Amino acid sequence: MNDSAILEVVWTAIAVLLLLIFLVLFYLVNRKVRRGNRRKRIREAADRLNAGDSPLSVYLGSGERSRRLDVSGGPLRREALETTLLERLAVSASETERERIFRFAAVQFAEEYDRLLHARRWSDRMNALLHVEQFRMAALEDSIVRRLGELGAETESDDERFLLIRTLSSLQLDVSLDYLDTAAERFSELQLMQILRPMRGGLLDRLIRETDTLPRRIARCLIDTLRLENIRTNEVLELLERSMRSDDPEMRIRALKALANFGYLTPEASERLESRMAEGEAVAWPERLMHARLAGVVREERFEPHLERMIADSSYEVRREAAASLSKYRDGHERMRRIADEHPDRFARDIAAETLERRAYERHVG
Amino acid sequence: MWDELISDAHRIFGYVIMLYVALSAGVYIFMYAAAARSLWRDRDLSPIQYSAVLETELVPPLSIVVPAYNEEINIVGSVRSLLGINYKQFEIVVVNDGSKDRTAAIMIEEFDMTAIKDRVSFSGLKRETKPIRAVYRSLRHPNLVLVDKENGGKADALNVGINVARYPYFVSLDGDTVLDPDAFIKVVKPIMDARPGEEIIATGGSVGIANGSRVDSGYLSSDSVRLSDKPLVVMQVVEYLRGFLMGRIGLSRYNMLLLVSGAFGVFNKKWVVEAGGYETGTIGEDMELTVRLHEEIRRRKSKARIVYVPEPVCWTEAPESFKILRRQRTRWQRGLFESIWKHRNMIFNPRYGKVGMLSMPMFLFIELLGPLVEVFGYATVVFGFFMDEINVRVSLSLALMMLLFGSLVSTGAVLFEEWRFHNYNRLRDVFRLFFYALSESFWYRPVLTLWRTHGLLQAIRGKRHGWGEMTRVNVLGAGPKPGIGPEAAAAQREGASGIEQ
Repeated sequence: MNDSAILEVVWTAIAVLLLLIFLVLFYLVNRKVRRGNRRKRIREAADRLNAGDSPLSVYLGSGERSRRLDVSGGPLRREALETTLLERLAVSASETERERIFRFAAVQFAEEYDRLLHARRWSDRMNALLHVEQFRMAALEDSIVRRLGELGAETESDDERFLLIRTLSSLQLDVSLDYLDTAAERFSELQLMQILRPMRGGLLDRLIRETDTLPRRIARCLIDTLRLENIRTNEVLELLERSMRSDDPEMRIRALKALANFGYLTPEASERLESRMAEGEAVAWPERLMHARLAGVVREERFEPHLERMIADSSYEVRREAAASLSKYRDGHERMRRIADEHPDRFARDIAAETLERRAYERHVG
Repeated sequence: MWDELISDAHRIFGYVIMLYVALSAGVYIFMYAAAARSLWRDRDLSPIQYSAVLETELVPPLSIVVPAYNEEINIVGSVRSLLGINYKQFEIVVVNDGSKDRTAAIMIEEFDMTAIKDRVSFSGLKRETKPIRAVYRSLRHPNLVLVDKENGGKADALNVGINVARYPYFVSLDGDTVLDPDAFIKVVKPIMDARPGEEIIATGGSVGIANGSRVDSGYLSSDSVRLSDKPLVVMQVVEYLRGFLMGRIGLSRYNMLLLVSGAFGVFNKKWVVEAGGYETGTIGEDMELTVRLHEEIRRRKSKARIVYVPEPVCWTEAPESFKILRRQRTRWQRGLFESIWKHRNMIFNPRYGKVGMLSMPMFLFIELLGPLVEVFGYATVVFGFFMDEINVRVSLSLALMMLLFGSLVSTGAVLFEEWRFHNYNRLRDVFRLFFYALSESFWYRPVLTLWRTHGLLQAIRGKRHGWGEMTRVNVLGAGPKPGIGPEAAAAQREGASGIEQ
């Protein structure tokens, strides 16, 4: 290749590069201006919708629906409505207002979201799903299930799959239980808990009844979810106490933690706890920690000697928990002082002193 | 005969450089494409994606390790700021690295801290640390711990922090880091979303530049981001956008990320302990640790991943003068040299998979040696010109083409930012970002090339002093120390060494 041929190639490349650079600039400015204008117009429209005498405010306040409210508008009006309603939901609207918002959204957005759930653009689908979840649009069940069916097995679609399944459970739909096996295979525990957390009523009851048949990861997460959601029914207590005997150590630990949160044990379960505590350091330390915590919550005399022994445990975390638990007992303060002064184990003396100091501070401040 | 030899050598050298340029352009195009694909998919994604998890206790608990050296003025504000983070479960471990001022005393007074006598501060880390004098816990905030130890530098302080941390994941924070209000949730999201059997052992996010923006109570949210008026800062904004959005998305996708920024990163404690913790006495301890984590992944034949989150999670104060920028960049280059030299056995070593075969060589040839090759390139052209060996028109045209290619890459980074984050909303800012990006190849890059070459030569000569810089915790909760302007504060940071000389 001679110099003039090289020059020709290079100058063509330069021309292409210049063209690309200016295309980028044009696209960037165009996008920025359009986005800015759009945002401004949406904000203005949302402000109008938020005004006290607007048809929307009147409807949300009184349930009275004027015809002006149902005028169909373009995407701009839809976005303004979405923004306004989401803002209202976020500032904890009353239950009646929330119901009105959901009813209104179901009428206004269902058709559009149905289309967007199958849109080509990934972010459109995800945004639509997030809105379906926020506005509790259970009528879109078929569309969501259809979309789940369309997804391939590849991991790239797992973000969408997760949001689809979470939306089904948020909408309290029985069909969400059909996807728990898939969820257990593909999602992290924290994602599984996001799926289980919104479940309530009949759906949750069914899940609790069928715990033993659930994939192990789901069962573990269910126990955590029941704790986090503070659900206290006889069925839950029965499940937790049954799980104390599970052959899965992880399940036992989570059940003990949930029971400590529950705050009550049946006499049979108390007996079981005592016999496990008596096994001492043959039990793994995270489980010992939870034994100590639970014993501090239920406060039965039978656990005291075990807690006192655990104050000299080889694990700092167990010692700390045992001391905290023991100090909650009736004569806890005196007992703690005695341990701090007389216990043969230095670690036990230290943790007792630390606990006393903390309690003294709490009394002083609180 | 000599003339001919020199002429042949010159030609061969010219070809080698052209090959190098073509290969690096190929790498850039690949990274550009990977970033474009990912950011195009995520463009305009609603921010409510985080709300579902933010309000719950589902987030994994974090130990936030904050090393502090002579921070009596800022430490209280910084810790207060951290105590108010948007996150459900965390503990803060402040490590006082043998400060000569009242850092420890002021913490103890302000937060009602009491000594814990028997907390075992050992995580299994097989690296000796400077002795701990005492560990304290706040009576008012049970999740606030202070470790008072003897001076040993930032890496040593971090190691002690790891030993004391009780949660499975810890966060390392740099002193001049301003956090996004949702920084923690954004960075742990990949950990929360890890598939069964997949382990995320470290994550980091994008770092932006805070100069020109208004920091509120130690935080900077996207709405408050403004572009600085200073050309040198705008140039660094473009550079950071390119470095993070383009450089890391592709590498992260193929698990080849060699750097989780020390400014703000989340690490799995067990893995860091296994890998041996932070290397003391090194310049770029963050990159060195990340490379060692990769080594550990390969050693265990694990599927563990190191992940980058494109969201801007924290903001840092950039140098506003050439003098300080030069000092920073020569230092970075020396740090890069150290990390690569220490792990040179990984380069082109198939045992280390993609990291050994691709990312280590990429960091060696493009990041570390790139500036040197560039200088040689310029020298070859000048030499050829005097020897009458080259066609000046061809050379200048080729140079222009490469400069424009560099500009296109940088303008692309501005575009990516707009697709995904829209932090710079004023049209004026977009124009400024764009035109600075366009001009980068013509003034900023050559200057940087010289500094980086200088840094590389310093590293080869073995310059080591001025390192072990200590984390300053000033921006999290408070501004620079009273009476110190941003410039002087930056100079102080740059020059400061946490290790007592």
